[in-house]
Amino acid sequence: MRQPLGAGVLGSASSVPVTTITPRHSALVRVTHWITTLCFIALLVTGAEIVISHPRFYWGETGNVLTTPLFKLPIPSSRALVPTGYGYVLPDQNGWSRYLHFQSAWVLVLTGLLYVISILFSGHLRKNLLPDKADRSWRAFSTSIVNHLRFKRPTEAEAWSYNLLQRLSYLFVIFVLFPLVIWTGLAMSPAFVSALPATVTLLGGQQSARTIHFFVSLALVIFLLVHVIMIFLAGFWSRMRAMITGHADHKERT
Amino acid sequence: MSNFSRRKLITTGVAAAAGVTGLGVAARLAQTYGLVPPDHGGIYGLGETLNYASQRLLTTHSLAREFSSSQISKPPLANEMAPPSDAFKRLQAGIR
Repeated sequence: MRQPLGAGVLGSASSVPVTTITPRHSALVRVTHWITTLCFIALLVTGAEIVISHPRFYWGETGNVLTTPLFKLPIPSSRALVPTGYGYVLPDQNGWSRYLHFQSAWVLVLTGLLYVISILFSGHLRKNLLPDKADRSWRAFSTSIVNHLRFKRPTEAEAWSYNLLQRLSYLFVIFVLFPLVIWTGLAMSPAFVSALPATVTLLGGQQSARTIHFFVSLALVIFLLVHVIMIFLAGFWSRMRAMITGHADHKERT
Repeated sequence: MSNFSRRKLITTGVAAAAGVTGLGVAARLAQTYGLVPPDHGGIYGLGETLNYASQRLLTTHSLAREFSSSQISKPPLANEMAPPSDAFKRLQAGIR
């Protein structure tokens, strides 16, 4: 059982050694976090490699070099026959990239399932992710936004759980962005779609699925950037130690 | 991490044994039902096997996706195609 919020504050001020305090992050959260990190980086690199083989995006069912694109990325392609306006063809690394993209996707999906199922049962979702009863108001929401905009340092209570904006963004990533990126990814697979055609028709077609997949990935990259920036603002070493060992040493935070 | 208890040790042991046995049974079943792809080895073998097996299981009763005739695209070239060779062009011109 987690200790009440006051216990951490007392522990850091008195002579009680840090190791007796309940960890900030449980072992499951830490292990799934780093597996996800590794898989996400692999997916990002290989995804970029896959996208440059055809940096044009379409809407609907069909899309090829002869159809009008929805938009084009202003980059050269790794395929000589894709018209990009550049007289330069990037090296093609699609072979291993596609293998690694699917392999990391599998590991990420299985890790994500383990995480979601376990946080449902452990109470982590209820206690640390869903906003507290007191915080379920526009007032609390706007206060949290103002505090973030003023770069206010986290309070001791927040050091033991997640703050409101943090909770909302984590919930959005876990229950909206990741399901959407998995769905749109699967909707690009002819085999998957032949078994469940509605998964692609609901999105408006295979090319629409690809375009949405791109934008959801972009949203996840923005989350990653903000996440890393917030770690630096909150204290890189203390947060890093908390996510690796589970224990945040408050005395060393400057 | 010195607070090892007997209960923890037994639980971990039983869970590990069950996991290994489960994996073994799963591997045997996958072999029997032809769910293991030829390229199951190597560093990408895990992903390939999961792709192959899940697609075989999902598509046992499904056919290729169908499209209405209105969805046939006007430009005939569906994929990127290498520029036709001179021999191909001669043949193409001759047939016309």
